[in-house]
Amino acid sequence: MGGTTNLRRTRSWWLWRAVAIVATFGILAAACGDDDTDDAAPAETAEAAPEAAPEPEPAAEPEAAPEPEPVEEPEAAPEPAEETEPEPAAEPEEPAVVGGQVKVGMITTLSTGAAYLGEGIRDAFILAFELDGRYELDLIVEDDGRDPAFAQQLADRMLTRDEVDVMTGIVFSNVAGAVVPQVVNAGTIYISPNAAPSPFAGAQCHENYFVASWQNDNQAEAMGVYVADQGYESVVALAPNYQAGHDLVAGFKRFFGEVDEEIYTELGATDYAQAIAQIREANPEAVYFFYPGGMGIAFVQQYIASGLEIPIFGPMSSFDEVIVDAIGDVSLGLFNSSFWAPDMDNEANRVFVEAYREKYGTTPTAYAAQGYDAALLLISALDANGGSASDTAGMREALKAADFDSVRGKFRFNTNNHPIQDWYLLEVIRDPVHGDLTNTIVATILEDHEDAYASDCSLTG
Amino acid sequence: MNLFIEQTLNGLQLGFTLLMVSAGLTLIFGIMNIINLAHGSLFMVGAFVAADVGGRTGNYLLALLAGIAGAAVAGLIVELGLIRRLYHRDHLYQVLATFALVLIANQAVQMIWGLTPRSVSAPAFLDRTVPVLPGLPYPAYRLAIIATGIAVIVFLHLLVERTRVGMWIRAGRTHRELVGAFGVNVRLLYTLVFAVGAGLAGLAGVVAAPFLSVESGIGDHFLILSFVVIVVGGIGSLKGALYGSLMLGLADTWARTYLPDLFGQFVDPSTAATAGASVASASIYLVMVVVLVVKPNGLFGLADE
Amino acid sequence: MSDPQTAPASRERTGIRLGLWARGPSRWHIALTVVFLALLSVAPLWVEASGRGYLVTVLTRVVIFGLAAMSLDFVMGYGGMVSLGHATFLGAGAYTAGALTYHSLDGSRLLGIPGTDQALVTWPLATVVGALLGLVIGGLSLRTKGVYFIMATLAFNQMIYFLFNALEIYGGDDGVGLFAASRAIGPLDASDDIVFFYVCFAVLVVFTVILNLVVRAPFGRVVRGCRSNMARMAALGYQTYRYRLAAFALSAAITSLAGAMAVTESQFLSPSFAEWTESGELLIMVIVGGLGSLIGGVIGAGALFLLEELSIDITDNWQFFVGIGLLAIVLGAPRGLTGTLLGGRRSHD
Repeated sequence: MGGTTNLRRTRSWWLWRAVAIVATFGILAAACGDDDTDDAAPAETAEAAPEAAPEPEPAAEPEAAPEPEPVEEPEAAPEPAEETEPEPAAEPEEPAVVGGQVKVGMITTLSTGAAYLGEGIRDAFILAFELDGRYELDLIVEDDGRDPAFAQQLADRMLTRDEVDVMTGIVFSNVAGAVVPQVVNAGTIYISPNAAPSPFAGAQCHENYFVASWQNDNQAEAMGVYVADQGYESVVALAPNYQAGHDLVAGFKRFFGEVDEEIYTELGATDYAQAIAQIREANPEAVYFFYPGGMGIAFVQQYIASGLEIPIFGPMSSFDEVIVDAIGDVSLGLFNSSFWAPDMDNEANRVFVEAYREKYGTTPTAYAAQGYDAALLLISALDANGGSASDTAGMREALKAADFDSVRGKFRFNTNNHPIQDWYLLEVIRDPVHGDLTNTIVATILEDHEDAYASDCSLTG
Repeated sequence: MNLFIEQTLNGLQLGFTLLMVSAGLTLIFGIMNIINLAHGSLFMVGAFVAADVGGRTGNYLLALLAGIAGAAVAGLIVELGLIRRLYHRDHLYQVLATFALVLIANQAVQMIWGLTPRSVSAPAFLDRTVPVLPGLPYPAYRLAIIATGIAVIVFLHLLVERTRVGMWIRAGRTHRELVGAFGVNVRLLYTLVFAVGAGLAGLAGVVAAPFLSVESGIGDHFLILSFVVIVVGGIGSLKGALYGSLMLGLADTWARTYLPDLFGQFVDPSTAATAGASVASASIYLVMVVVLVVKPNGLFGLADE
Repeated sequence: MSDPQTAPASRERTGIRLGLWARGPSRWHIALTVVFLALLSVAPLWVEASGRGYLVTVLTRVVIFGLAAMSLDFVMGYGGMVSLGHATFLGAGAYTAGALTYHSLDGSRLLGIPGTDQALVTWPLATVVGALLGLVIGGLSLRTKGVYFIMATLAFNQMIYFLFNALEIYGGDDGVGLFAASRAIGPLDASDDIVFFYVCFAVLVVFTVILNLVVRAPFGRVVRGCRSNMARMAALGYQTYRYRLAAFALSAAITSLAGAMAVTESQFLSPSFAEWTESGELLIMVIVGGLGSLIGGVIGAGALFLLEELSIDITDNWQFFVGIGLLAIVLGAPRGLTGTLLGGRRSHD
């Protein structure tokens, strides 16, 4: 049998062989070539981002959820670094730059159902530096695909090869768990724009680790207070089976009390039929759930389709603007807990929301607000250090001071470098001006709220 | 009791979805002796095309047809362009070439449709619940999937057992050379079977899409589950695919429902919930191990295949 | 015991015809092996001297995954057993070494045994665990053949993957960092990347020699014989099942050792070691390097890691091009880099 095959193959065989040889050796040769020019590796700047889109990315997505799609291209297709490419050298001509340069490594989630979380963080982070206009942001963005092991390799590369000044970006707590220890132990500062798992707030806190969002449990604690206040006694809690899922159930229980049943589903799961059957069986008075990103959309849609009418509550992560928009009008009037809402009444927030809408065409999510605040925090520390991030001790001190105008109004750090802030009850409404579904603050649940782990942290104020 | 019935329905729905993927795969194995890792990618193509068309038109039926057609066309291209060159090659090269297709397909959908997942909504007329029992409403769409799965298996049964094409398929499974000797255009037959299998994978992708976030790599999981189905059921056997799919669907669903409770007898509820959920994921593979020990050729496999 | 393999073997396709050393290794192959290993041995010094020290860890991964690919080549290129589940053993080794390390950091005990991060303990133990697991999985999978074997190994792979996911103590599907672990290898502290590279390199050299000897030994001849004509080997009185199982277990043991080395290298333990795509990538390394050449696995690992390292700056879609390149190789140069280097005119038998 082999003989006949060989005969048939002889016609094009030499051609294929030539192609394969050229391809494989081309790869090797190119790899060596790359080594030689590594110092000229493509540096993507915020300023250069909009026009740097050489890949044939069709991006014809008329029906896509309202993500800020256009800006996806720069990261998806960074400028190929030909040896003669003048691009990196051309950067300093940017006129607005007076403050200096900062090299930021951003590992975030730009794929999976949570892609828009990372996009929001990235876009708002870039926006903050653009609005500020004084610093040249050398931003290296990588998608972690929500995979801790992969993200850990990305971080390794950013630290040893790209030698970034500061790192940020991580969306998921399991990714943070893999990456953050490595980063901070290498003496690099990490500013979290989202994930803040409980271990890093307590015994494993670190002087190089700053959280510009919230400690995971906080989101849920506020909801625990509210659900208890409403008089519900039996609750089923659902969350993905990973660090933040455990944190957001623990936080809920800390202020609500014991729940009837805890249901943990696979991280990234999209079929909730089995969980819904278990809710029906338990028949509680209320359902508390933490499902960020695409998981939230899938869960709520299937929950509604199942005919269950038990009221549902969750943290902001389960009701962000993309999720409620995907669910549609049935989400109107649902309540969640957050540190921020797009209509929050302060100057910094008005500037942010307007500029974000202007540039990306959608209402920013809380993730975008967190990314924006992370950038503002970083800028404030650069300001205090003469525009350079090279003095880590000085940066630490300046970050700890948190001397910036947060979009959430008040912001200060606890001893463990996690924020102390207010928590609000949010209701899903239709935006009276723009017509899309969004969240508005209806009440304050907790004031100057700290996390439960700060006392386990050995850092001092 | 209601919980058991609801979970059994969920298990059947998963099983019949799996059947649509594995029935095509088993026929392709059986008749062509080709291992096709890209079968899961055809599932993905079906889901993406349906999401795209559904998004543009808002019409589920149109999306369904487009998804099936898209996967079938992709299957045709793959068969004519690649698989055809591999019939006489060792399985290793079939694995490699189709694994290459998986890599290419997973990246290609990202390049075409971006990183943001798409979604497909269930058709409006099925977007309601049906009271299966008093006090137990069940989504009509999921019942429709079960019905579709039954229709698929009946269709395939009739195709294989009652038609001339089916006769060639049955003959080709055991006496490959003979079919050619009878003047049957074997190449055309292979292409046809491949396209039908691809279309079924696409169908599965579309019907499952409302419960999926349609993103790169969604087919991989179904591909591996189908492999398990075929190992359990036996290569080339439709009956095996049917029993295998349903066994696995039910085993998975029941394990996820009852293992956490079972573990709860021994450890605290939080640990039981997480450990139970994790171990349940491995339950279907335990079924496979048992079958491999008892019947290495699968429940309905041909002894000499 | 009755041999389920014998009877239908004659109906099987004519194995893998393209194994390079089907007629025994040639002088050229030995020369290539020596030259490549020599180049690899100076590579870290070269990258360090040219100011790209970060590439040392990449080279270490080339060595480690090259070792795994080489052991896969042993069962595939010589034994004719196409395993799409070798990541199982990578994961088994990683979890054996990783678990011991975890417990030594934690101060807790694993089944009553104190943990350790001493590689002289964790690595051999991982090898043993890999061998045992190889016996179990191989024992079950080898009851099947052909396509069934491929699917069974893949399904076992997935099963083990989910079991690792269930190990909440080691972070479940998130995995767990072991950054505080030492890289102690006997009295040697290999926390320096270059030192660690040479430790791994030494292991690679040892197993390159061992496997090259094994394939030429009588045992290896029987295994090779089973690939090309199992019925004949059975007729000659060989217990083909046992020989194949032994070969599979040996390969599993070495792959498991590579997994243990990999976790010591990355200091991060996660189920991703055992993902099915990892099995596919090992397969690619073998084919890119050249099936049935042993050293080809390492060459393939080198080509793949270099491609990744190179393209990460240019495109996020590098796997797309890996796919295209792989298709080109399968269709056009099935003997991989090694075969193409040494191919000469003796193309297809």
